[in-house]
Amino acid sequence: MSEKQEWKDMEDMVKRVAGQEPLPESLAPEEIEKKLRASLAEEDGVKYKANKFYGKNRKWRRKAQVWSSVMAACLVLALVLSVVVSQNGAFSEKDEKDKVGTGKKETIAETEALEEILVGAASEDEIFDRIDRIQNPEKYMSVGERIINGVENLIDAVGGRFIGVKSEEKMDMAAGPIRNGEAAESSTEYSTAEDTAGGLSKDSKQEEGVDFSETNIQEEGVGEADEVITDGKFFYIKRANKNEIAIVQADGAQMQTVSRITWPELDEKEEQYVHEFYVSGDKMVLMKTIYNYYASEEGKVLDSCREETWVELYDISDRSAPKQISVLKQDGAYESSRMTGGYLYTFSDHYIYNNIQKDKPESYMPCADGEVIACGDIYVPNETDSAHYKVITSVKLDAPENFQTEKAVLCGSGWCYVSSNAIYFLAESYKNKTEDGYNLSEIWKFAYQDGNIAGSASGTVKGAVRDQFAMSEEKGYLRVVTTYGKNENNAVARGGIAVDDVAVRNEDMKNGLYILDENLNLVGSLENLAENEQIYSARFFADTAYFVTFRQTDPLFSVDVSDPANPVLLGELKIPGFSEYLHPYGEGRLLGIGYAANEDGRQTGIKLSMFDITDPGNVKEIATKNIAEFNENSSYSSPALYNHKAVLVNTAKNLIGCNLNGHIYANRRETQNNAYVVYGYDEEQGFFLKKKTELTISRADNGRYDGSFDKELDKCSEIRGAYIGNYFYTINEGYTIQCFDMENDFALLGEYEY
Amino acid sequence: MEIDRDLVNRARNKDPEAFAKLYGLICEDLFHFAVYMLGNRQDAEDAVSETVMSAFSQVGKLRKPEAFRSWMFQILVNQCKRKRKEYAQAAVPIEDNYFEPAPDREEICDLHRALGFLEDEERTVVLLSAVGGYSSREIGDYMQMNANTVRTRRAKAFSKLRTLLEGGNGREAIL
Repeated sequence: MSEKQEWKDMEDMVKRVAGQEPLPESLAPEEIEKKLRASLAEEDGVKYKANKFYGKNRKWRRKAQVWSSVMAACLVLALVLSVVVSQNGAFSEKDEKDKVGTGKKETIAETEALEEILVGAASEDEIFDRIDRIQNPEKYMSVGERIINGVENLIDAVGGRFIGVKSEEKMDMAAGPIRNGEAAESSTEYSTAEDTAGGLSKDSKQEEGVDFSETNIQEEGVGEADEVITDGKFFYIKRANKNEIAIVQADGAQMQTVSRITWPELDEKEEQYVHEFYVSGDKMVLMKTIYNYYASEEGKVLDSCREETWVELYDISDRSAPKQISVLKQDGAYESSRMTGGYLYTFSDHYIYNNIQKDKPESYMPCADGEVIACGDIYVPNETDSAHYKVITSVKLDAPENFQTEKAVLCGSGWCYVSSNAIYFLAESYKNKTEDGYNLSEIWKFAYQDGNIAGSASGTVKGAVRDQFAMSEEKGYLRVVTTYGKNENNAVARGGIAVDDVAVRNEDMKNGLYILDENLNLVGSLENLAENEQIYSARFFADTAYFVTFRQTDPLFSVDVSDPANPVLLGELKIPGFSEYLHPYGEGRLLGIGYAANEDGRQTGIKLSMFDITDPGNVKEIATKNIAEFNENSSYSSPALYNHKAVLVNTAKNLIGCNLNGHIYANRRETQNNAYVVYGYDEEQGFFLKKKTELTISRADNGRYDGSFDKELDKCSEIRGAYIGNYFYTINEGYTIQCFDMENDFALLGEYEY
Repeated sequence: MEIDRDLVNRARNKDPEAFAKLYGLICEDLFHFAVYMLGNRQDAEDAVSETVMSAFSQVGKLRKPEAFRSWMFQILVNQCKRKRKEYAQAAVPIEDNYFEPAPDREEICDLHRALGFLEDEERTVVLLSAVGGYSSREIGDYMQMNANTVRTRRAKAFSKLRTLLEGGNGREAIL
């Protein structure tokens, strides 16, 4: 009996029995509609915690408990944290001598190269205290606070709104399982910003004299990792739905898998996930996350998922036999990385669960290389309500036995932007607001050079960013575009569908551009842009910033940022649709990839736009093409809309390539179309199709899913485009590689199931 | 599931009627998932309500109309995860005895109990698969797992469920 049949009948049984449970009246669609209307009617928007909604007493009490404990947390934090006032208002200022190591190796003498402005934590006690206050606020309440707390309980319980915050959500932010938000992001087509081999393989490129495509990166010379990489001779492909990297030799249409890097299944309590990798000469570095779901003794699964990032280095001088050189481990789930100057910088997010124990530093401090990171290397802001550490390591590719530097900062979870000499983390605060009540983000800046990393500044900015492209450093100034609002807990621009219990009301939104100096002090800003809209994409040039907001039409804003203290709005081009990604396309041209939309704001397809930015004050859309039209039965998406590395753009070769995924439903048949398109652009004729390669799979919809389609679905894995010399390749991460002749109208030369 | 794009677009513009209609297409699946995930009708009711309100408040961000159902499920999965976490922290004793055996509810109670013996993760996989009707790939997306792993877990979880419900000793042990 096949595996599938074995459980199929059980599945049917569960479905049948589960279906017998009657739907409560309150969940009937008409009841829900009433609630939705009521929620709209409530003037203060997000506060739908009205009696009518939570009518059950039992429920009330529970909410009240959570509510009050968070309130208490805020109070305690405010009281305790205001005691220490630091030079820049965010970090505790301690004498260097106070630093107490924890047996971790000596901090690299980074002061030689980088001046450390921020000062790490003084002791384990201090760190424990901070974490404990976040996790167990009630322990720290004075009698007076307990009374206040009790009164608030009462007020809350009788339906008053004493505190204008959605405490429940805050609690969740502080104590929820770490993967929540991230899981949501990734599965709703929101990949976090990550990395590439771009700029790394240049040496070999020059040797070979072969021209080949590199990963699309944000910042010149700062490599980002990717899932598919070529070095001009081989393809390195992380296969879809598998922990496997295939190395495929490509000599024109002659393709041959020479080796596969795979990993044995771990202990059943552990899960591994290979994210992405770099290829640099004869070395490959890949990053994976190990999820250990059962780390706690009690076996409380949700309380105990411990995540660890593994950085694995391989010697691939013999492509047919990659050899593992080293494995370095750091706490936290992999977030992103960069490679530059022969060093890899890896960022992970380490969440501290509730079960902290004072005598076990590893329960409240992050580890790297198997040891707890030294207190002096851990930055603990005075104010934080987040138990997330960002762990930052560096490793020299030529000395991969240990991390060279290990740092951590206790801050929220957010976006990472890396310039040629600084690492920025920007995390929206769930607690703090601007004086005028808007959401704000905290920014942490770390200077880096030759593997040394030093905390150098912290600051805040109004609002939240959409992605890494919303940030850019120029001449030491950080320029940021954000969307801000007055909502409680708003995660406005976290991107795509913020699948979290975060309520956002569009009505409050505005956008701004901020310029901060090297110490992250605000020097210039431009605010109140595009009311009720949010930023979808941004691209900074040295002196001009372009960004797109959207609600019904797409204003493409251009701002002169040449004087940091005085950004000037130059223009605002309104066109239907909006761009999710902007990319320079030669002199005076800016390419946009996004959605077409009609005058009501309804999306009608995926479109390419070419903007003439010769005069930033008078930007024009000079060409547009709907490359995937939606109709009542079909819609399309593209990884290019949310992952810059999925976009292939080469101005010299006039190539604009991306994957299009079509989903068609008609006559009770579900059809998926997986295509890769290559467009060119011509000043006269606009965008023109150079090549489209596609495959289609289809199944009858019998009302439920039987698992037999999974294998077919592999064919619908993401497709990346690449070129080597005059050959163009489309690499389906779950299926085959196709090779086309660019000199001969993209004629198909061969297809290889690798 | 065929999704009326117009309905989604109206819902995106915060039309309660349109949203409720869309919700109506999936409300039973949502509730069944929640009630077996949490083992408690009241909490399941709350979880679904909260999911609806949360989704409605951010429906403008729903980009792909056909993703409506998945999107709602994703929010619900997170809601349930939180509630399970609350249980695990034992802040709230589960006092609901709704699932006491009753003549006409025997099968339902058995299933609840058997599911109660699964790990949270196994239960999630089982319910996303059986009630949600999701593929291993989609479940993998929700749970940040590789699809192959989901397949292995799914087979294992259903086999465990079979032992609990049908097997001799296993069944006696729990029921």
